Amino acid sequence: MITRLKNIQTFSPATAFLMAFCPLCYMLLIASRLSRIFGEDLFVFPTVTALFILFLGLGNTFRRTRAPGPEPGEKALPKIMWIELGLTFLGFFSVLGIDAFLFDSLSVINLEAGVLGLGLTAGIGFLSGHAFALFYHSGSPRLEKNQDRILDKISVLLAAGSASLLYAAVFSPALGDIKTAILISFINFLLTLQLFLARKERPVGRLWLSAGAVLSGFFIAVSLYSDQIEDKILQRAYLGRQPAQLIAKDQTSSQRILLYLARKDGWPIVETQKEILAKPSQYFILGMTNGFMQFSLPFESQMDPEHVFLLDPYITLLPYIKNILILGGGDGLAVRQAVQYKSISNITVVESGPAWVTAVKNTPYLQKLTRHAFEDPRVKIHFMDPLKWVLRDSRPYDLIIVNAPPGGTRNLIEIKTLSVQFLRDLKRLVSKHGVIIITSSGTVSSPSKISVQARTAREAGLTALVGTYGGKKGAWGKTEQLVLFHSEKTLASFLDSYKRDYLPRLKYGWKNLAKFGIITYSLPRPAGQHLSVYDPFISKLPFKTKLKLITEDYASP
Amino acid sequence: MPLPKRLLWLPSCAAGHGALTYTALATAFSYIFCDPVFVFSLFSGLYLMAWGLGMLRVEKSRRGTEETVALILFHSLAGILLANPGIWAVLAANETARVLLRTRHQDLLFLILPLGIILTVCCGWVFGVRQAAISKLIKTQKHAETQTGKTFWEQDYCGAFAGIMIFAFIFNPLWGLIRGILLSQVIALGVTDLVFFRASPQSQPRLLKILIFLTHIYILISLGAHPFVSNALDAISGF
Repeated sequence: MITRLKNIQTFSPATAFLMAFCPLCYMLLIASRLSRIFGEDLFVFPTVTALFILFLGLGNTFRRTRAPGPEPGEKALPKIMWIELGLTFLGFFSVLGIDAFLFDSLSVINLEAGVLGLGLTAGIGFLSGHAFALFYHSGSPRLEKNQDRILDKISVLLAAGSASLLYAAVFSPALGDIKTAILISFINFLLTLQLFLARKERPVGRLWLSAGAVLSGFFIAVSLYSDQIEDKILQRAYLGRQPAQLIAKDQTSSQRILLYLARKDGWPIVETQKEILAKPSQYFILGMTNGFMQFSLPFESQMDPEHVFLLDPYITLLPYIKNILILGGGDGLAVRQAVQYKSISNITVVESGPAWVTAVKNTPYLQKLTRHAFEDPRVKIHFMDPLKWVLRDSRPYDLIIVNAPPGGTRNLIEIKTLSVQFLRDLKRLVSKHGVIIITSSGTVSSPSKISVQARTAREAGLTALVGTYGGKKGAWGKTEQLVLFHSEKTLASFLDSYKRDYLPRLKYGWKNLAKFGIITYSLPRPAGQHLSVYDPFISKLPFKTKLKLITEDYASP
Repeated sequence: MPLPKRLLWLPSCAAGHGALTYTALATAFSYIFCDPVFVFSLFSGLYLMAWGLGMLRVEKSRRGTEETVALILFHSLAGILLANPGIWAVLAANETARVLLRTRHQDLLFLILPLGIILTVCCGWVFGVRQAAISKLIKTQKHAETQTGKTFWEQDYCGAFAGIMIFAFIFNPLWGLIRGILLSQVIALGVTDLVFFRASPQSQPRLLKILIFLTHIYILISLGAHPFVSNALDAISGF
């Protein structure tokens, strides 16, 4: 068999294909992973691609500068082999390495993971460029034929196209990032093995064969346990070394959810389900969607500040609110808050997939956490893309809550949910005195967005306020709400009631738990730019003027 | 007519324009499908493949210097006329299809994706041909002047890096997609003009002269019309 492998032509179009296919897949993997971590895909993906191209060229130039002339094939082969082995390891640890850097740090900062990802991209690009320069400029007799040289180049180009098509259509949706990284690095390892066996220097010893077998076994073992490894990494990223019990897990085409239960005192859970349910104050629950934290709550909590402020100010101050539409919110926490108000007669929940709702309904811990909210007869659940739902529905609602999913493609989801078209659809569904609340990220931290969003709302025939909620010091996350009213009159009336009745109560009630505030602002011009789907967040105003747009108080307790 | 030495930065500039157009295309389709990870993954390799095939096409051909300059100019203009109106047309097609099919917030993947792939492959091919022609021209010229080695500005990967970063971090965030892509094509037309007037315009084929005239007219109209394009796209999508 080894003799047969030795006879395979080393400098062939197939080798060229694999030499291009694997690094390109690694680049796509790193870019996808970093995009999901940072959620700003339109910056992350181009940066990773640009860096890969730059270092590919630098690697190629470096090789050509050091040795301008052709090199004999026998000399080039071991060099290519070592480079491919290096690429195998870099590729294997691309996703795992980035995830490992998130250990104990996800709640704080992800910069290290970003730097590592870019470093890996640069390394993979440089090594690939170097390997290609060696491949094309080795003095192999076959490469002297122009026809074969063109065939090799066509293979490389086909590899680029195939890598993109396979990654986008097959690998990423079917296998996920970690399994794809393992699969591609295994293919790369096989290429390295073939290059190793094709050496003509000396016969292959048993030791090398055993090493090859051990490495192959390692790849297979890691592939088989990749799910557990990924879960463990996420657990470590969010919970550190705290022992936790996986209580629910589900995977659909669009969502991957994980739920952990942990003891507050840091000890491992040895109690039975019955004992845990009897003494909930000793535990907390952590929920994740697609690797991003959905919530982290004490198990005994009856309500949480984030969802209280999503509903309480509006239901308290606007007693005519009867019908609520919640777009998103399959985790049941918004519904848990809503069912506590007796005045509410209908709660419609529209969730894109059944993963969260099934987990909530089937897990006793989550049933307890959500206070069996989904079993309330007032709650109706529909599984449909919320963006499509607003087109088909025609019933009026007094309160509409748009709950964007955490992490990933945040910028584009914001563009869609804050576009004139979507806001007009929501306006059609909201009753004349009703309120629309859109949870948003980074609204207040970027004053330029406020004016654009307010203009977009005005373009759609709505007037806007911004509500912010920040947990007490040390708590995770910060939520911002874009609060939209039918008319300025309704807004003014709400604002008066908020300042007169709600704010004083807030100072005593939730003072120690959270900061909540409402920001109002005026627009210098009645008409102008709105948030276009295609030209987002354009503002030609200087920064000082943007800051002046915030004219009223930041009324936080 | 050989290129003057001052134009030796052309490879870097051309690669930058090509990469910038790729980023603009991928960004435009990200807005349409609302999934940049899928779009960038799919389009990166396809664009690189088309680019490489275009380069191979020129490497095989045997053209004289005059013909190569004409080829560069022709493909530069073709790229400008393909990329900018192409992106606008796909965006308009997407919004119109949504109106006609009454699916305002749905992704019309099956309708728009083939258009996107065709546009990406065509742009990649055109810019690949241009890139190879420029490299070939400079190589021939250097050979005549017995020069070897490449200067920093001749490295096309530096240009590609700069092009992608400029669009992703400056053009798109500051001016948006419609204005960003238009601005990049205006700069590209300026560079093409520079090459055209340096390379004896009188000796260029008539077809090329007509094409350069049409491109100028198109760019002037686009500069005036771009606010209407943004508003029209939003208006169409708003029913």
